[in-house]
Amino acid sequence: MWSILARGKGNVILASFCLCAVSATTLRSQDASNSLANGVQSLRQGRTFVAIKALRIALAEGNLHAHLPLAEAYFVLNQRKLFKEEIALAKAAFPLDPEAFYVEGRYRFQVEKDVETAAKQFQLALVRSADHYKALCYLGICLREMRKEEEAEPLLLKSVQLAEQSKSSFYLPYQSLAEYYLQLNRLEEAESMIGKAVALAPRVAMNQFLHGKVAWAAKKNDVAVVSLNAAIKIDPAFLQAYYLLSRVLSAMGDKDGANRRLTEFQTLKDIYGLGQRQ
Amino acid sequence: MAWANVNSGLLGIVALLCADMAFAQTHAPPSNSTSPQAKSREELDAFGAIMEAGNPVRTVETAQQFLNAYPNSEFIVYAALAGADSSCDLGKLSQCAGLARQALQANPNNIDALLLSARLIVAPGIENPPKHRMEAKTFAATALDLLKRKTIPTASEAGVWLRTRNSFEAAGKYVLGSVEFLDGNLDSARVLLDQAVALDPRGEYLLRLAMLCAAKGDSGAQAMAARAIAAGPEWVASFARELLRPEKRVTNDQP
Repeated sequence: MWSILARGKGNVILASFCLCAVSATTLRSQDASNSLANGVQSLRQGRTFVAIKALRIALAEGNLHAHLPLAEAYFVLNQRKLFKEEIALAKAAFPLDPEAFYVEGRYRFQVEKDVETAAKQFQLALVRSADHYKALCYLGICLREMRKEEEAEPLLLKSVQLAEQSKSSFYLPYQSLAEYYLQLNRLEEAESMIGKAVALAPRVAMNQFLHGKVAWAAKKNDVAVVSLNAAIKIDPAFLQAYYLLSRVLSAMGDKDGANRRLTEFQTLKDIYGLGQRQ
Repeated sequence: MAWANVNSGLLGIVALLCADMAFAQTHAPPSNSTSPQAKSREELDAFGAIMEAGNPVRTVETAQQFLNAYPNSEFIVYAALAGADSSCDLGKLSQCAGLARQALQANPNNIDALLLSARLIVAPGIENPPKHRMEAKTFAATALDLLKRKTIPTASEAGVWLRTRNSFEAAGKYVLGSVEFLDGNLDSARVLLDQAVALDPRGEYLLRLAMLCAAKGDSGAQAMAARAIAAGPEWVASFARELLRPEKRVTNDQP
């Protein structure tokens, strides 16, 4: 439907160009801008193929800003060759923009699992914008994966600070720091960080799960039960939550509840498998 | 309704394709690093046209265009399946069989292709001698075995995964139940078909259950046939209407 409208507009533009070059130029740029906006909107709505169509029209109309969202669309569809071509074009079009480097970093990290190359891309994004709190956060996460946790902590803390300043709901640095502090048994800091992550994004199962895990470590079993139940309610496939909940309930003396959750864990394992959840 | 049912299998394609958490706030790996890869933008656009077709007729058209234009594509199995599902929905069972065969040739271990091929072998109105029934049984058993080893992709929504999984499991049970029915083992057929309908009350499965009830002289046959008619698609409803006619008895022949 959208593409039909777009083609319709194209004909109008062509006719206008024959009649009046100035107004046609205005219409042309408006149309390119609309194609880009429609493409980006479709991408955010999860209509990836529709987005690709619109963004390719925007590019055909000369809007170089379409390269980056198009690269994102290929990333979403796991199209490795097309992503690499498109992100290179996005960087060439706007070499000072940190965003293309950030997106490539995400790709290297998530798809190729190449943590070192990903870290370099996040660093290149930060060279272009030192306040890019998402690049800071992901660089911190990469460093944690590379076992450079002491270097990672200040980056994650700075990401938290910048995200707070910009009133963003970006919860990932809190989550990552909470995991780190939990590993070190710095439970007060872990509780504070995961509490903020939950406040920012209570509907994220991983936030609720980590909240429960930290509470369990801090021997706050009632809190752990509430959080782990919340994680299960949000994501019934979050099997680690069932397992931990059965342990917490068992420790609280609720043997029936513990057995019930353990049985659910065993049953659901066959349905969902033991894949990682978020 | 039928469109939504038939395309439940396509959810699997989405799960396979998507590095689904790509822009969510997470650092988990993508769902599948072996997703099919398009060799060109045009190839991906052509595949996108199938996914965005919006109705069965258009889906079949775009799928066939894709299969003709990109015979060596890594998307062949998904394009063929999309076309096959829609052909089935439209009651074009021989077209559906051709496309399902193409999908199965492209990937003999594709669960959706195995189940669809098996369903077509045992479909009412299709001649299915014992050799073919055995093949259907093997396809279904293989698919159910492969299904057991599947794990939910990291960012897939649990409900969507469960619906897709149930739809596959139901198809497997339906095929196994139908083979039992065709072999004359009505009691074991009943168990399997009841399980299939409980997992996914698709018209095709309800019709088979109605046929089984009729064969056993069970009073539930009419109610089951009425449910099959309501569930559709039209080719299923047509068989079910025949079943409701007292002078006719549908076995496995064309109505």
